[in-house]
Amino acid sequence: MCNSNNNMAGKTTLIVLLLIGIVLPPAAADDAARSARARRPVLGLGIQGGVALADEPVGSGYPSGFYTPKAQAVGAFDALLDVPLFSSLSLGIGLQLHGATASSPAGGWTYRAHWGGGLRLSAGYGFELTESFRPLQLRLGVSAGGSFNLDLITFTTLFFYYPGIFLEPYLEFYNPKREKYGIALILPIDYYFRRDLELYGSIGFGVVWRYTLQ
Amino acid sequence: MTMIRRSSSLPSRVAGALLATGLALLASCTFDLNYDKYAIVYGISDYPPAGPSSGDLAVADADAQAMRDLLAEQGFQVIPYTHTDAEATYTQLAADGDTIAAVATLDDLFVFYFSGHGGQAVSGTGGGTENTPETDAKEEYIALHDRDLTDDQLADLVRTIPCARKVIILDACFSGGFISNSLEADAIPPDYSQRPKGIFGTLGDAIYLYANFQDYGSDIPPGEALVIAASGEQDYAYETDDNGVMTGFLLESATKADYNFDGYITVSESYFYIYRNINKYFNRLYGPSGDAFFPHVSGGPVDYILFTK
Repeated sequence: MCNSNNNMAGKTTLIVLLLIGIVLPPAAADDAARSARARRPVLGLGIQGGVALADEPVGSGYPSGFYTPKAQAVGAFDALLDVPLFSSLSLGIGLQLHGATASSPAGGWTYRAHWGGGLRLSAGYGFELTESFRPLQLRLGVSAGGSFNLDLITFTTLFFYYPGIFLEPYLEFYNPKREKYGIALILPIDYYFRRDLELYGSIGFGVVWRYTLQ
Repeated sequence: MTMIRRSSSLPSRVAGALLATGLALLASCTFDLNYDKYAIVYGISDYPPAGPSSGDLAVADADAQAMRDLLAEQGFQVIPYTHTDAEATYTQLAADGDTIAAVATLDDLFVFYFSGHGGQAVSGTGGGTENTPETDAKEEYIALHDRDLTDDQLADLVRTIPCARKVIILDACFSGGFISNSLEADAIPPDYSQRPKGIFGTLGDAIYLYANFQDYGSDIPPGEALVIAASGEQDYAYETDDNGVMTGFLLESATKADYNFDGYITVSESYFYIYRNINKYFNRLYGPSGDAFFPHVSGGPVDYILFTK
């Protein structure tokens, strides 16, 4: 049996480059319009929760069709640094601590719980909305990138590695009078290239506290 | 307590320590686990003098009887398939396997438990790949009363059982060599006296395994069965006056290892209880004199309910 995840690391890199390529041109065209705030690096601390969907183990001996899709609760803490490149484009680097609960034990089995850390590299594009909700100013954007994760299977001493890609639309609120600080609501959508599962992805909701460096 | 090594040969290795922790998670629904459960339970204390392994064990037969009682209490069909000492032969095991293979279905749960001697062939066909990119090219075996049964032979036997969920529990020396994890890097080395690789070494192993993943392998891959092994591929396992050290904690885990409070004890939860307590009560006491060992478990993305609380 062949594994459909072959060369996933290469595919991840390709997809990340494509996403950056898509985001770059409109960002470059928008350079003059952006605010002084958007030209500065941003530190962020975030928390998020959501649900993951796992389906179908891959490997010798697993009977086809026996293991049905199941949901797992997921949560994460993020620390990130966004560096403006030009225009409204930024490049981001982040560290994430994350975990997933075991799925339901229906049928006498579960998808295993795991937790660990990841490195997240991204490109982002954002712009100020002209309409503001006084006294707050709104900024809308999206980040896309790749993640590289090392997790421990809960209750064991076994570590496994898996890369992924993500798309993270966000809506940031900040007060123009205290523009160093902002709060962003994010909607992270992750897809992971797990060797041991046919499908593994998650969607969630989070809040990021953003601090604009002077 | 008196300690007897569960091995027929090879010098002992020693000590070191690393404790990895887990995440206790909540879920409190109950589920109707409507399937049959089968178990084969073998334990051998009394080995023939000229048999495959030298030296008797003290309580391996008692381990099997205690496991039989626990599994029967848990609703397993186990009594006809429990054999100790001279009854625990390869012929009997093959017959028990055939009987269960004829009646079990894909939805059922199967457990094989063995307590007795384990060993390593001096040279083999490359059976040992326990969680590391390297192979030691040695075949591990468990010693039945009449002959040795290698990891690959046990895998062949278990493969005939049609259940999707199979669990193998081995309280024997070198039993970690039965595990074939082709994706997961174990933070604990197969020889517990060796220094762990640390987080960067483990990360390197994990990336290597990811890049070179093959969904097949020698020994017993997680898809064939989840294995709980008393010791590493190059470790001895021990027994006390009452039980095998691992079996003692395995028996306790049926009531004490429900870490996520859902009423069910999975293979991973049971394993976690076993290794924490071996470290806490055995290794701390006997580690300094060279008898520390560490149990190992299969990887894979799925876990099975082993006991109901």
